[in-house]
Amino acid sequence: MAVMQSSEDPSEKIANQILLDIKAFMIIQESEVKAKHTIQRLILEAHDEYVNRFLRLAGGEKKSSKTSHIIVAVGELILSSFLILGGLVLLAPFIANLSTPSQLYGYLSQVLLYLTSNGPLFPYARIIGFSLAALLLVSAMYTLRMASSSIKEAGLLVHSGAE
Amino acid sequence: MSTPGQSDMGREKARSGALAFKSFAALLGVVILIFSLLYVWYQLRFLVRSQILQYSDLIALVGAFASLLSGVALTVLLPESMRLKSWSPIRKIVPKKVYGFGTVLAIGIGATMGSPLFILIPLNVVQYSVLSTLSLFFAGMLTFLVAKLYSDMNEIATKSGKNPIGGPSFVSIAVGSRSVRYFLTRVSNWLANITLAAYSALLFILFDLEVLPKIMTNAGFTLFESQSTVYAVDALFAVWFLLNTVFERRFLRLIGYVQIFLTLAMILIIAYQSYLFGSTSSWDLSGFLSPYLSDLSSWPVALLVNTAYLFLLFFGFQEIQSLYNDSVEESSVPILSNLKKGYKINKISYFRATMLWSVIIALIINIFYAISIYSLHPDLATLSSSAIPGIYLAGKYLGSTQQLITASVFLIATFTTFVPTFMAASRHLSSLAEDGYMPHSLGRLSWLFTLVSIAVLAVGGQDFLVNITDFMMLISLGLIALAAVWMRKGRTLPLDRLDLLPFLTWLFCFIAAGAIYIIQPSTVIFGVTSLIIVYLVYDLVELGVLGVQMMIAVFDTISILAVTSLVRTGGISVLKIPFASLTINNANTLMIYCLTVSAVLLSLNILIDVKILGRTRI
Repeated sequence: MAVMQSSEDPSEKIANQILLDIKAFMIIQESEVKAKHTIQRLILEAHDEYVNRFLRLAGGEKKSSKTSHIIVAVGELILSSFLILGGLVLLAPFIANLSTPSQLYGYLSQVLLYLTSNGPLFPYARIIGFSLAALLLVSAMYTLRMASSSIKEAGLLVHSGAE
Repeated sequence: MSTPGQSDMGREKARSGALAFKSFAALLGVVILIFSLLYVWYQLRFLVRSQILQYSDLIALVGAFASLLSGVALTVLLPESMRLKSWSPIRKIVPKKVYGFGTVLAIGIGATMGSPLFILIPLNVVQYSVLSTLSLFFAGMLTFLVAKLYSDMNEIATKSGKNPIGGPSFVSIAVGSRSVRYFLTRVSNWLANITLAAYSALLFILFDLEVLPKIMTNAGFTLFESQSTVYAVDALFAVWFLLNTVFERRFLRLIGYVQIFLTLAMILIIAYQSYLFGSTSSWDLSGFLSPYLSDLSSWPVALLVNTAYLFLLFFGFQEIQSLYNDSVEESSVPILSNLKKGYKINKISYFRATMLWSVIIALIINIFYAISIYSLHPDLATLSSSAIPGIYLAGKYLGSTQQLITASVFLIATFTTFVPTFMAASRHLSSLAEDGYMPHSLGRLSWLFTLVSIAVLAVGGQDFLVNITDFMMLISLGLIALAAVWMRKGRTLPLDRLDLLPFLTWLFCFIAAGAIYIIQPSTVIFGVTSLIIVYLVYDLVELGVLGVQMMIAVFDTISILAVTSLVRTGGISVLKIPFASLTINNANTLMIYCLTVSAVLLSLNILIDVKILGRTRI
């Protein structure tokens, strides 16, 4: 009886149809990467309110807020800027063909010298350093929060009572 | 309470204000861009002249590049927010199916056997004898494997309704056009093509200015006649270049016929001259094996390195794949169709055959040419000092008439190398625009970017160009080889039996690319750095318009912190503006201001786009 009722329910009819369409979609796929690409382009990035609501409901878990995403993004941009700068500083001697140990030592000691030098922003070093550190720490916290939701999504949680 | 009309007016006002801000920012962006370009130019010139790398100069250069990027970002603020349609799909070229088996094979061989063979083979075989010949064989075999994978993938892609134009399109079909693997393949292929085109252009200039007038004089021509011939050759080159680049669609059939004639003439003359070289010396191959018999342990590494070095002589076959749309569905085969009336093969089959045969024919001719040159036992020092060794040898051993014939073959080889590589490079850039990595307006100027890049790279010198072409093409072809795995199952691991060929081909390509480090470490460092920068560019593109602006603003801020340490102690301090007799003192301080203003303006622009213009979903 319950089955009869559910099959007459228009929502369930549509849900069943979606289920069949998903199966059909996956059957005709040649590669998972291409399937993922199509889903991302046409569904996940769809600028449609109803589709987004559906995805939120289907996702189950509450997604992180937009502000937290922005903070994470800024933190990661700062981090990547530092990495780019550091990477270039270490890469330059190889591009410039500094190959002997003494040449490399000379270059690296210059780096240390400048890092400890007295530049015009030196009076503000404390506040600049603190601001950057605080931003990175806040970003790290939000990143951890995202990592926790990723761990949940991956199913890496031990259920209570499980051995 | 405000009425709807008032709120509309308020919105319109805010919009006008936003556009006024963007106009102001764009104007300031142009100023920052010009200043940064000057700074980068002076700093690079200073570094090249001083030949000493100082940390302060490096940081100043990084700051200047950050400022340059900011200038570009600010300059395009206004057009970017007003002309979103420039990213829409562009008109596709209507294919003209005119090429058949013969033309495709001729174009394949023509693109494979280029002008570099007249330099690389003579020098290499005289220096390394049997090792050089074996290297040619292995480089040919590696290319043969890649050609086989190309034809396999072509069959899979065509049967599943895809349109594979050019090698990187296989990667695009396998993993999608927004994949970093595809982006790396496309850009490294583009880099390899522009470096090869630059090398061909360099050889042509050398030939045109130095070699040809000398040959003409030796053959008894007057100064006027030799000068006229040089101009005629230049005009011919320009006509062939224009015919292929501007009027290609209109004269597709004619280009095909000319290509068949040129390739046939080139093959016959090289084969005949190789025979003459061998006959002159009675095929004296003494000492061909002996230099390496004493030390067998050094063979594997030397063979690997030399194989990588000579790889440039084979990979042109892939030009065939770009003709796919312009080729007929069924084609007759010369000789076979004459023997068996009505014999025709389908497109997939003749593409497979032409790819494989163009590599085999090139391999046979290259080896024959190499052995015949070795049999002459020319002096290595004299050969190295000659501008184009192949032409020098023809003059010395076969006389001035044969030298003139060799010069004409060299010209044909230049025509059939420079033009296809230039066009392939332009096509790679416009494909990137079609895939949404850059605006189509820039994609339409791909020929200009390619031409400028060729001119810049030509300064690098012959050895650098050969090595970087090899490195970039090996990386690109290695990735294309792996596309055969991705196309079948969407991922690399775990490997199964069918993956063996693509996996081994990828492995050989990457090992050979790494082996170039032994010849010229700086080339590999340059190549790897280019790949990292390409990856970085890919990530920046993936950030989206506002993401890139955020990144530049953040990077500007970090750069300010780094550059401030240089104000008192280093970097370029005075800049002279050409044509304006102006001097900028304290250039470092000005750069810090530029970076600060850029960071602020870009951050404000993000706020305006989000809050006032509502360009995002926030």
